[in-house]
Amino acid sequence: MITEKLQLITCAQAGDLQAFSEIFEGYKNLVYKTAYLVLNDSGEAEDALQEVFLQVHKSLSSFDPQKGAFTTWLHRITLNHCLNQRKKRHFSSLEEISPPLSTNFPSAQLAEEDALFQATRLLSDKQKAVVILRYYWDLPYSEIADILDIPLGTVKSRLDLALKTLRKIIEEQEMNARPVSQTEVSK
Amino acid sequence: MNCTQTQSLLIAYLDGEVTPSEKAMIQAHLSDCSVCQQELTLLSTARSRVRTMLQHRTIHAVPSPYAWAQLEARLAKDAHSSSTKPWFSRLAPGMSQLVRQFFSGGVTMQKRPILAGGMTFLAIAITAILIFNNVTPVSAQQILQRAAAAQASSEATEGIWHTVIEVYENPTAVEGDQAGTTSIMESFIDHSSGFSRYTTVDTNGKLLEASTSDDSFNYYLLQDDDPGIVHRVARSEDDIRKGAVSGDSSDMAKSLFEHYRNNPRVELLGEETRDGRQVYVLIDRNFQTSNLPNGEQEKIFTGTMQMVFDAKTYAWLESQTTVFKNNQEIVIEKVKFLVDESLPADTKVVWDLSDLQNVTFVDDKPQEEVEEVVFTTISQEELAAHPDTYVLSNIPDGFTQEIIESPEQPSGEPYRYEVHYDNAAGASFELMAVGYMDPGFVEKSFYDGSYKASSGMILYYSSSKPENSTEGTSGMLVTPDGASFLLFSSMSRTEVEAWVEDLVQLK
Repeated sequence: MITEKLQLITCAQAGDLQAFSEIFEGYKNLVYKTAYLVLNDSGEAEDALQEVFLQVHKSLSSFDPQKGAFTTWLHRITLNHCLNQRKKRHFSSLEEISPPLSTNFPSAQLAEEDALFQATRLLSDKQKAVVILRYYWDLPYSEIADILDIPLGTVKSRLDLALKTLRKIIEEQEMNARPVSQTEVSK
Repeated sequence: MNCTQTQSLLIAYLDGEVTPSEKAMIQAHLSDCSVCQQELTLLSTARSRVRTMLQHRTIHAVPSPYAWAQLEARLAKDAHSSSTKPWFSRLAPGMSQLVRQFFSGGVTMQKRPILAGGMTFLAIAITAILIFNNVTPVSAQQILQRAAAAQASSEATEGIWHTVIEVYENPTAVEGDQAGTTSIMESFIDHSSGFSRYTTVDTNGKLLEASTSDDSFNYYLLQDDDPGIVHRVARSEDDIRKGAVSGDSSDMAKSLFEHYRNNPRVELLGEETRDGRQVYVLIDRNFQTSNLPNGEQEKIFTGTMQMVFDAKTYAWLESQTTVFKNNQEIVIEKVKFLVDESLPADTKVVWDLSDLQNVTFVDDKPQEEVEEVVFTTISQEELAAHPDTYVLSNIPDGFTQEIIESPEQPSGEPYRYEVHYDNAAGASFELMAVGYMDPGFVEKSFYDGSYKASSGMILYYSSSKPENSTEGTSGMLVTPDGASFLLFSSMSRTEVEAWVEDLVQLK
């Protein structure tokens, strides 16, 4: 499997467009979903998908499989692009939380998830990137450190801060949702 | 290990990212500390909720089925532009030409109306003759890409390019099959010499317009404006350098085709036989969104644009734009190619219009290429003296407002001005008053969906981006009274819609 992927990459590096299209098919979801989570807008995620793969096509010749996995390299290009896009947004007050795409989950659960997603706005972009790589893509800390080019300790501290922030939000949600007890009513 | 040390490692512990010795120490501490146990439970809950939320949020987030076709088109374009000179100018300059034309009273270099000239070039630009043998397209974008490639290659075609196009126009969207006017445009272009000849006649064969060029002069005749007079103007060095197909309107026409080609919403409607040829029919369905008082968004169908391509040569054969009004789809423009051929290089073409009967030739002085337009900054109070003027009700934090008066103020039209909002970070939102526009022209030219604000203003989007930018929004904003504004912004459509909601009429 790995050899197959490497062959595809080698062919694409040699200018084979068919091979590049197979790489695109194989990895488009990786790029799109990360972009969607970071940028929170399907249109911007589409744009990011195009820009990231244009960048990949342009710099594919510099990719060296000896130095790391293709997905590590691709995650790095994707996050660099998306975080740069976020930096370019100067209108955070106008930035809206788009509703989740339609699902069949119970509405109470959706409301909780929405609130939690809104809470992720409290995280810095750097923290958000670490959360997505760890809890969406299930990547080990060492790979996250490679992708973001940061020390392992920084991965730990960013995740620690991010989860503790989100934990507080969840705690508040639960406090607000707690039914009023009979004792409290009688008081 | 104390509580602080333990708690700083709990996330890594849950993630299985602590060393064996750390793990042993954490477990020893937890067995004896209810506070840290509770913290562990809370963090574990937070962790699993974050996981679930991220998974649910992306469950239906999938890339467009046209994503690869779009990318392939861009890769091909990059490859082509690096190996040959670009055929299409960038989109934005087309838009800026449009702005310049509006502000300078709509006069083009060749004194041809924007639309007529645009259509002529559009027709010429798309008659491509490159045969892609036995390749079956799988998407609208691939068909468009091949049509564009065919178009690009046609520049190198030897000989004289000859086209005859039937154009039906109904810009005010009057109901009925024959509500508009039909004209026939014929063109000859010789790329090797830079000579060109365009003539437009009505359905009875009466000449309406002519515009030609040879090695010394440009000639033009506009029967409506100046019956029987052929104006002759010496060609400038710049004209000659640009070759046969030059001028502001051609840039705009190129832009329009490019918009369509870059539009991911264009779909393949089907493959069929028309006039004995196998063709592909592509369609772009246009929608208008608006926010309802209950917070929901309404989306209504407003019309279509169809394009028909030859299934073998990828030549563009027909196009049709419609608007949906009073439960009817009304055609506002239809273009059909009657002739599309390459003639031998020695074909005799009358480049100097000397074949025209009952006309007088008048020598004109060469026109200034682009009139220098001087703008004056005015205050909001000065602007408020004019009807149909709009600004934001609140200038957003960090932004400055600048109002600029146009030196050209056509009579009977709304006041012409621009209002710019900019901040230090380079973000911008700009409106340029361009007077009353034909609804058909707006819907045909700004054809990328629309947004209806609660004030009744409609923002018709263009897929073009503001000048020198790959991002942002541009379009035409039309008030309920018909006053129109070109809009350019560095912001996304959602942000622009919020700003449009905040626009107020000063008088």
